Amino acid sequence: MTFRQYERGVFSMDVDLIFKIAAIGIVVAVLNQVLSRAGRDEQAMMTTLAALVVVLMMVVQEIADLFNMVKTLFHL
Amino acid sequence: MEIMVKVAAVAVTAAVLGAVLRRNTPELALLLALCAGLWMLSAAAGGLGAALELMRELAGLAGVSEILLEPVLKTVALSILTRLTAEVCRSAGETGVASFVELAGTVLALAAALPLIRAVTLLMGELLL
Repeated sequence: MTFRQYERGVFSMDVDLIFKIAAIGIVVAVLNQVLSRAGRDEQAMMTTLAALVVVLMMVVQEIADLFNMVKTLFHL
Repeated sequence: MEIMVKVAAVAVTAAVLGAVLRRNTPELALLLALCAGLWMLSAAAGGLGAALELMRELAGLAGVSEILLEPVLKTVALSILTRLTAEVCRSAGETGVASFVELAGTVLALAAALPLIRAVTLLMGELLL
């Protein structure tokens, strides 16, 4: 297998995920500010927590993909 | 070359976005850094795969069996995973967890190298007798 073939086979992750996480973070920051100003601190915290869980779900999939990639690369 | 340009662009973008996120949601900034790291690693995987392929080819030419090569590859994989995890923990401020991960990685790498050490010892014994 040449370098090019590897590149096509393994290189699958998207850059969009990084922008998605950043967008979620900014939206949550704004929501947090609004809710805090409205005196709903507990809901603000829940929003942050929910965003964290959503992003974690997205990233966990990528981590699993990375582990599988390492496994296939090293034939383990 | 174009991969390195891509990696540089993603790294700078991730650093800027991370600086934006760090003020209000530091935990999301950490996940963003992790995500960028995963992307860069998968971008570099092609080079790693080619290097591994060459290593296998050379071992085949030299007549070294796959059994002897496997501990080496295992150790490389272990060290990549250990390094990645430890750095993520460290950037989260959890230096203690990072040290534990590194210790576990060292122990497991040693355990993976045991068959190699055994093979060398047996070979030396055969040579001496």
